[in-house]
Amino acid sequence: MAGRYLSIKTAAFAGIDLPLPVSLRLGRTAQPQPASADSDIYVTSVELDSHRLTAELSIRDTSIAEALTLGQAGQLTCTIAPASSSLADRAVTLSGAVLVSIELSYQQSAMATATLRFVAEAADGAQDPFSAEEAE
Amino acid sequence: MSTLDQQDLFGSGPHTILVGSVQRQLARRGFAGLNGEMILDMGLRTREITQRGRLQAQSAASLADLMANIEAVLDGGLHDLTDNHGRTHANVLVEQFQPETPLRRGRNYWCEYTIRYRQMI
Repeated sequence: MAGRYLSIKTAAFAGIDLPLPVSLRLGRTAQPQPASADSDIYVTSVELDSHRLTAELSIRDTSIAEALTLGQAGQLTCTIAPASSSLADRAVTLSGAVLVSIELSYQQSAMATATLRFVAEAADGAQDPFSAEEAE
Repeated sequence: MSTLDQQDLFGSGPHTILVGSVQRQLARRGFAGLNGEMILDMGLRTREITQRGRLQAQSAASLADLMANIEAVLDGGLHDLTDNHGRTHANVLVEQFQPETPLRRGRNYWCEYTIRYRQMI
């Protein structure tokens, strides 16, 4: 059961508690720059553009999301509960998260959902904004 | 792998070499009131060769060294360029080395470039 996690216990952004988290998706992407020589059949070099860390968090409490503003920046932290009692909670942190999208979805006979999207800003261009560790 | 005077200047990354046609210089003259034009054939001149590629290094300093090595052949002298297919182009003047991107940092430090050569005939 090592390293398996079951649910999101808490979520917070810029010191604001985000109640009733439903899902969290963290992405790390870089635009590939493939290249090859004129004598090559296959690509011989894949370089990368700057790395981009993104997060997508869905919560049930839409009233909190209504009060957020685009461009707001801060630390995004989620505590993930383990699937096994032998494991500790996991704290996943995206520092310098910039809120770039807010989507509120109200549906007939279903719970409303707010989807927040973030892109992380690194403090100095070299430090990884993502970190994960056992929660205290 | 391509070389310039047997030196491996470009082997850090992939590159392509486009060998242009030799150019015939023409002087065109027209005269008022006369249809057509007069063309003076000045003869064959030079051939332009264009190399585009990527330099890659483990550090910014190493990449700067690679670029400096290429700049060193902007010496006004004639060189032998051997392309990726093993074909040698003799009497080549290195006219321009142009970095096309800033020094980028991904997996390594890298930079795209263009080199223009002129082959004397």
